[in-house]
Amino acid sequence: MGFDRLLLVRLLMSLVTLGYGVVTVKADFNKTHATNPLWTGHARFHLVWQITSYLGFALLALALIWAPGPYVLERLYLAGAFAGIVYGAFFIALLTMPLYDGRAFDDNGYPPFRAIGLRLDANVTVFSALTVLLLAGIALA
Amino acid sequence: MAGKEKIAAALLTLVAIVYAIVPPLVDISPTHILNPLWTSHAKFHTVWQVSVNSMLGLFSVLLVWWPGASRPLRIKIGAVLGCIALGGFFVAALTRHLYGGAFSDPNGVPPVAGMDANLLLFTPTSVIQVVALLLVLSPERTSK
Repeated sequence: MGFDRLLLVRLLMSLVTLGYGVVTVKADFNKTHATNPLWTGHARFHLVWQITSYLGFALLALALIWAPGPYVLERLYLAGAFAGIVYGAFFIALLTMPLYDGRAFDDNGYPPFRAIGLRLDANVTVFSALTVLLLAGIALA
Repeated sequence: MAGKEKIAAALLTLVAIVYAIVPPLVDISPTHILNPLWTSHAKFHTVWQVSVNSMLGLFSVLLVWWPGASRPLRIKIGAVLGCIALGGFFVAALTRHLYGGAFSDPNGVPPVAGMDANLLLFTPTSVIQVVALLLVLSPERTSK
């Protein structure tokens, strides 16, 4: 793998990692989720547990992506696997929503937005884009 | 695998089984994911979280036991992964007064022997996890 290609893969993997490790903190630690008055205390507890874990996984992934040393390619694949698990699980939760009465947003959360003539869910749009970037990063690695 | 590494691998496997298998068994029920008091998006987040932890637990076991030259590094990563999955629980527990969190809901999992069931499970599990981490991070002693 040439230097530029390695740098590109590292940048893609970092972006994908920041997507689940940092964007979720910004998006969910507020009244739409962690302090949502409609959420029970234990539902909030699970959310904070989930998002702080993702932040931790992301920090570990960034270390794997950027730390000097052996196994560069293997470490990139590991960081990609973390992201694959987080995004894969998101789509599992999305596709199984009818089984547990789930929804991609609450009425006092993030409503869908209109773009290119479509009504798009914010979570689904962002995580779909990041999944495509993840697949591109793995293909280039 | 050397003795210390083998013990760590066994401990990591035990802990991974706990955080990969127990939460789906407990949480896919009317106490959590099917709880009528939870909003639909709160349920969504818990399905997402449980799925991640189950997959990471399985992934951690693969990291630990898959043969190859990079296994010592992978065991360390598996040890840190488990600490993060369980550490998030304690972060949520210690900061719960900041966001109105609770160990359980009124219609959730009742305490066991007067103690919160989550704490009862995850405290010893986390001790084992930290022991495994210390084992894999401590330098190997070489005989003279």
